[in-house]
Amino acid sequence: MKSLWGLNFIGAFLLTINLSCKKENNLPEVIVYGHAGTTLYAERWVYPANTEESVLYALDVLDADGVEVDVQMTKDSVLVLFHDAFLNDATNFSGCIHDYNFSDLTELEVYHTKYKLARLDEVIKICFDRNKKVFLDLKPYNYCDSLNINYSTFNNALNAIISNYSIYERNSITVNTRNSDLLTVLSDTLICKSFETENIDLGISIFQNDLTNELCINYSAMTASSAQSLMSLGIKFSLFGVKTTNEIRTAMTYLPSKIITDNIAFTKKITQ
Amino acid sequence: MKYFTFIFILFLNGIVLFGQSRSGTSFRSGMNAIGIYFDQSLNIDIYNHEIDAGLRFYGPDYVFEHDVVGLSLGYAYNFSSSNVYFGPGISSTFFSENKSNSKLIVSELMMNNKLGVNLGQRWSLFSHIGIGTVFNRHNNFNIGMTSTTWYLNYEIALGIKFYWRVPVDD
Repeated sequence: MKSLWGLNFIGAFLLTINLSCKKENNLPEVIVYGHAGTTLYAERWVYPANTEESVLYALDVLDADGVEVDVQMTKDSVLVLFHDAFLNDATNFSGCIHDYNFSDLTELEVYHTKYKLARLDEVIKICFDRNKKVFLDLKPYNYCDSLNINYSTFNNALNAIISNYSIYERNSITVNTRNSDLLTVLSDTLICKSFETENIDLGISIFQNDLTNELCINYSAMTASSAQSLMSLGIKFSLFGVKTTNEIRTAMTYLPSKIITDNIAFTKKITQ
Repeated sequence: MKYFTFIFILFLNGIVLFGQSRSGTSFRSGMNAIGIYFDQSLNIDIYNHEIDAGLRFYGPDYVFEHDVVGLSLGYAYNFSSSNVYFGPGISSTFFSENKSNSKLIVSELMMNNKLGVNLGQRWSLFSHIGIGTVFNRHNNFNIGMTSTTWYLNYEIALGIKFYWRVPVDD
């Protein structure tokens, strides 16, 4: 009988240790976005990245504040969600998204699964129906031809989708790109413009030239002193590329305004 | 009177079965698509049938914002050969979490296959692999929307079991 009590005590002790380890310091609230829906990394997928199912899982099950999605444009100017430069590795198609009309891509199997290519207009509707935010990572580039896609066409395609929404809803859209020229073409003044860079000085320069509202920085390129510099200049920034619990903890100490995470639940846990 | 007789027969059967049963507790840790879990259960083995009920805690995991403890239930039929036993089973777990603006109910249903070894009469080490589904039911209070999702899940686990009660003739 003593052994029984001993074993139960050990079990209860382990559970208590585990619970106590999960207490985190209170940190300022940030907006938590799921990376490419729920996560970009295949080993963590419940549903493949940048699919409607992944977005729904992030918003409904994991209760993310919003989702980050990668946006590319087809030949007939339909904005769709896809991360990779080329279709060859991740789908049953070859070439680039911009080589095809949307109707040609209906049989595309995203990451060789049964899930289909998602349209941006449908994903934005999913987000706004749930009163959630959306972070669009624009990729206006055709890697197959090594050419930038016409920015004006890209801007028009985006405006065609978001112009139907209210001021409040458009305010909850962040549009991010690595291309500062595209930022000058984006004509909707209600959306939040974000410039993605690993070069903090370049980012500060772009911000000071009024081309962007905020910066988007890879976690691996961020340091405490860089975060301090940005804060002292009043520049808001979002962080992405945070995957492990240690990375998320460290990222939160930089006090970003937004975090694009591959572990929504843990990120939300430590921000509460 | 009929009911009394029926209950009395059930009671007698229960005594006989309980007399042939082994009772114990088990602790196991495993991994699946939700995360890493720790599970403590009470077990009853009646002949080759094994029933367990207990509590499960996930951490670290990819689903829960809070420290949520869920209920786990399981059944297995064990074939034994000397000190080694193996067999198929089913298990299920239930979790309910209140997130900031919503409520999430997670339930898992698994078919698994267990392989274990008895270390004497009272101790046993075991492992199991499983495959099944996770059902999520989510209620967003802000917009009054309820949604359900499900996906395939896998499981591998290792555990240890201690029997505090063994049949007299064992």
